[in-house]
Amino acid sequence: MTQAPSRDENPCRPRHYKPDPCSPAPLDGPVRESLDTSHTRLLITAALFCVGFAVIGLRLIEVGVFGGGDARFAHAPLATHPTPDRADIVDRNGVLLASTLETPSLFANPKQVLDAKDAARRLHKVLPDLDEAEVYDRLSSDKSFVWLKRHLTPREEDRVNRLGIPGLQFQMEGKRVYPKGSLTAHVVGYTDTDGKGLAGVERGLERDLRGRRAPLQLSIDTRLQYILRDETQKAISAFSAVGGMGLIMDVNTGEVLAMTSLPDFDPNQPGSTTEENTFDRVTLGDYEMGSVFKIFTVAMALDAHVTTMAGGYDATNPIHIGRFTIHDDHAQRRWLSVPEIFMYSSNIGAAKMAVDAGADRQRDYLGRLGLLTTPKFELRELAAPLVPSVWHEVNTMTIAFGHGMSVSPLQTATAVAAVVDGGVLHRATLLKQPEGDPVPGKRVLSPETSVEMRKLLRLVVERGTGKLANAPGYLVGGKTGTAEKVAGRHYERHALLSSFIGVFPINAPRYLVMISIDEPHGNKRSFGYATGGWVAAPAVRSTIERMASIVGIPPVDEDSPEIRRSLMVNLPTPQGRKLAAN
Amino acid sequence: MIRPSTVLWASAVILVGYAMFQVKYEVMQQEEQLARLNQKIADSREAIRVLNAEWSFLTQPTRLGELAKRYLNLVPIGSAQLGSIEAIPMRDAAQAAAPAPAAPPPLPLARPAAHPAVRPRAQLAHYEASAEP
Repeated sequence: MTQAPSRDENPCRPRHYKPDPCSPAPLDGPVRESLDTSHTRLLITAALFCVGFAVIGLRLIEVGVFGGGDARFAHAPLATHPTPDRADIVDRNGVLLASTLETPSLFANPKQVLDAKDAARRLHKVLPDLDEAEVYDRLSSDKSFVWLKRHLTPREEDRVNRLGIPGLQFQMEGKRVYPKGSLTAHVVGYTDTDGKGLAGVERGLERDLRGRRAPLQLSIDTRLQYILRDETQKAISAFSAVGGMGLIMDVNTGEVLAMTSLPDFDPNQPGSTTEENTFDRVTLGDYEMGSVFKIFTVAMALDAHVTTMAGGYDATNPIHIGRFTIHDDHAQRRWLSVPEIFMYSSNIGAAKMAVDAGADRQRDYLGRLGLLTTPKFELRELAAPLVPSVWHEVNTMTIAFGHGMSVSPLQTATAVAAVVDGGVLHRATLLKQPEGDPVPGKRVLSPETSVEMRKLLRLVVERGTGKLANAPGYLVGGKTGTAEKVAGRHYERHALLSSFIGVFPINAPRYLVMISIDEPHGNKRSFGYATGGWVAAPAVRSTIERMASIVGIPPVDEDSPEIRRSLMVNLPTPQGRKLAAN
Repeated sequence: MIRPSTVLWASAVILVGYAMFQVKYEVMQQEEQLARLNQKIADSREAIRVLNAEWSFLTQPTRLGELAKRYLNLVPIGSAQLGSIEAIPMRDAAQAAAPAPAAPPPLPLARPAAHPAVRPRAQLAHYEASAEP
């Protein structure tokens, strides 16, 4: 066997070549085994790393070259919604009634103000409503933060910036603005400087408004609100009254479409008003509503079958009971049928009718109509009704024609809406109800009673005390009410609350319009009268005429046979002869 | 002596480093732009709120009533002016055959035009168009 010559013995080996000190001797046994193992491990690890880098590399190529990045993983600060502290308030058509705007507020760090006296003088020059001495006091105080003025206008901000006084700074703050001003003052209300609701919906629905993004939609219709306020104001001016109130309600849903209390105020400057102006007469006022209550008396008597449309009472002589005398304002001095009692607004007839029904039944019906308890409503300004604690016969008599018991106009309107809307009571609400589905209500009277009451209400406008409310074509039905106001323990003969509640179209009631004028004085046009029929009825008529085309109620021919028939009332006479009226 | 592989790797490192910083600057730039856009969106939102409030303020019914009185020859519609199509009788044949009157008489104006120079209706239409969302 020829052995290859060892390199050492190679005569031609390079000069510098040195053989390995110990050339690898062929290894055997455990040493070789462990070397092999580590070799394999190294290979596997290297392969894993290669795969890893290859994956990263491929991904890089994919992202970089082919643009395969996935937007889902791109985290970037998106436009931050500056969550308004309070939601906007809009009317039923989306018209803005209240909003929050970011306005700069001026504050100072007195420690950085170099010359407080000079700064105060210059600030007073550009912001004249700041008191110079007070600003000086604040600027020279020890604190490091003092408010100088909240909610500046952009112009004021610019002027302050131009002064260049060190230590003055602005902070953006939300300010509540009411673009419609005094129009919806009592409904929407107002907030304090820190945005906390103090009145109206702002207070009543504070929790719903806070931290909510979608605007809060009210049932109010700004257009109707304007018409109602305008007409109420005109009546107040024409009869030199101290104030007045108005209400428009959808009788099918209980939604309040307009609600006004005059005098009112500018909610943008709630500080510069008086308590009388912020007083919401519609919800917070307790009034003896006068003859308007005869609606409830007659409805009760008909519903409980105490009398019928053919029945009647003798109203020849006034009633003397205790120290009271009940007499009629439009005295007919004869037997009156039930429709006539209602039409001529006979106190004597209503009182006798109520006595026939009895005090318990009267209380039961008034309770059902929601007149004995504080109503549930979105406002916090709510009056509790003033009800006699002991219900004597004299109370029964006076309450029959709306004296001796005080309720808010809101309650009265809600109850009248129930009487005309088929006898179903809907809770009054300031929130827009979803259209389409019927609003649940509570049955308080039979549908037949409701139909009879509609006829009687129409009779009042056509032939009775409410003739001036007759808006041609709109089938107005209604009831007048003139109450002497209570002053201490007696009634003021010349301080009246003159009201009219109108409902139209009376054959299928949709809208209720109520206007009450506080302490009107008769004028030439009304021949010196200051009663509901002379003062409030014409205002309701104009309101209905102006609003009908807006709410989409077409005028109808009042003389058409089907309408005549549907609203016909028989006026029985004591002799049994019947006079058809309408 | 510098081996070619060293040159290759060194240039790769430089290239990658350059590319990385390039991307970084680009991202920074885009982030700045994003912040600017976000700010713009926020400003626009605030402006929309202000303009909404102003629109609501300018369309106060009281103010519109006064403007309408000053510039428009219109009065509120009365119930006698409203009717339904069904209530209008059909034209009978004899009348239909007769020649139609030349021109309807001009409607009487409710009030003489106070400011003939301005064209309020066109302005109103413009405002309405701009109020559309």
